[in-house]
Amino acid sequence: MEDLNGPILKFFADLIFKEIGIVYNEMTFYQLESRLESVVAHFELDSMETLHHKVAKLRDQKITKYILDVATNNETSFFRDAKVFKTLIREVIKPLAAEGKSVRIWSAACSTGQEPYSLAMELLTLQKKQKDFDFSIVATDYSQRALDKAKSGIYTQLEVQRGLGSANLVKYFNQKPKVDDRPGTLWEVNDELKKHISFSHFNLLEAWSITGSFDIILCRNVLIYQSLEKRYEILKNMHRYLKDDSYLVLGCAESISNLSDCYESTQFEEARFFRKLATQTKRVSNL
Amino acid sequence: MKILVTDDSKSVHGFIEAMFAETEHTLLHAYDGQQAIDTVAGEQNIDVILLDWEMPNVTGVEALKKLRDGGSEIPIVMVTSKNNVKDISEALTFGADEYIMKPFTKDILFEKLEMVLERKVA
Ligand SMILES: C[S@@+](CC[C@H](N)C(=O)[O-])C[C@H]1O[C@@H](n2cnc3c(N)ncnc32)[C@H](O)[C@@H]1O
Ligand SMILES: [Mg+2]
Repeated sequence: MEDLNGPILKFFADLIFKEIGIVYNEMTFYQLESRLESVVAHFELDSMETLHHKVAKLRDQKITKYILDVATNNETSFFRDAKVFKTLIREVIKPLAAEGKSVRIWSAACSTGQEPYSLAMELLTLQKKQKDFDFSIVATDYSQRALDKAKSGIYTQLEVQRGLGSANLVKYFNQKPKVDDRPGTLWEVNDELKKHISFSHFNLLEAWSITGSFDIILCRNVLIYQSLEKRYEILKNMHRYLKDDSYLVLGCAESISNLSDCYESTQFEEARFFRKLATQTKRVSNL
Repeated sequence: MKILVTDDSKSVHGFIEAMFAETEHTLLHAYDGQQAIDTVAGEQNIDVILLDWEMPNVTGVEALKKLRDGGSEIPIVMVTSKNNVKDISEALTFGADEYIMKPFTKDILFEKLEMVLERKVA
């Protein structure tokens, strides 16, 4: 049966792709549809047609922003792919710390914050052993809803049990007083962790306003939602923000597409990272 | 893997059994702390113990203490509705390896099991 919302879905899919690069196609239109329905409900509109009218004809910025936000998939957990964190500490961060270097890390699609907080826990543990070691984490995402939660550092009982060891829970979280009948309580990340992370809004497809360069960039589980061209564009941009020989970390199912002149895939015992290859100019001077 | 499930509630046993339905693992069942201790004494090669806290006769945390005092090094995961930071710290101090707050999901249980087993290997 022909989907009555077909042309409307196509309109929103095109808008989403243009603004944030996330691909929705016929296969995933049903997901897009249910997300748009939640937008209709959120703004108390009467139909999908009205939503379309508001965005396409009236160019309502507030609604458009909200649609782009709900188009993102924010699924994440603490220590997602735990081996990645272990390997980062062992193979990349410890050697830098041993040289007396401080470490600057960018979590480039941090969602609700579990990724940068997990890193911060590991780095603080390292700092306890090596007092002069210092680090900072820049955490960005497109989704304002996800960022608000990340900044608050407040998680449900179910969320603090996904991937997070109990020792870390009691060490780095404060339990909030019980407020309603829902099972369990909320938990808030403590200030010691928060103070090492700065959260901000950032669209990977817009002009890059980030300053400085990084020892590690994590860009995990975001490229899978992007088209090949956008992946290429993002990876190419990231290259400029990495210090020489430092590492890009992608999701376990993601790779560097055809950018083998920018990155070298490096397989460690339990994880694979992508080492920045020195820029073209350097290679020319080597001739 | 051989897993000893300890809880005074039959429905918790059923719930956990359902989570393991599609797996090759063997579940053993105990309904209070003393039964858990007896099972550990009588069974070889238990890989991990799931331990409820509030149970008649011998409670979970009492069983935990007795097992550790007796020298048992089997990984222990507390699975309980006591969800206070004090309780968690106490259990960890007495030698629990991980702590699960009820209600929990299959993902949480499996991830916590993986965590304790991996630490044991490391
Ligand atoms: C599945 S989450 C990944 C979170 C975390 N990195 C992890 O691996 O668990 C993907 C995140 O990418 C963000 N995202 C998608 N497109 C983006 C864009 N164009 N710019 C910035 N962030 C984007 C989404 O908002 C979402 O929070
Ligand atoms: Mg009980």
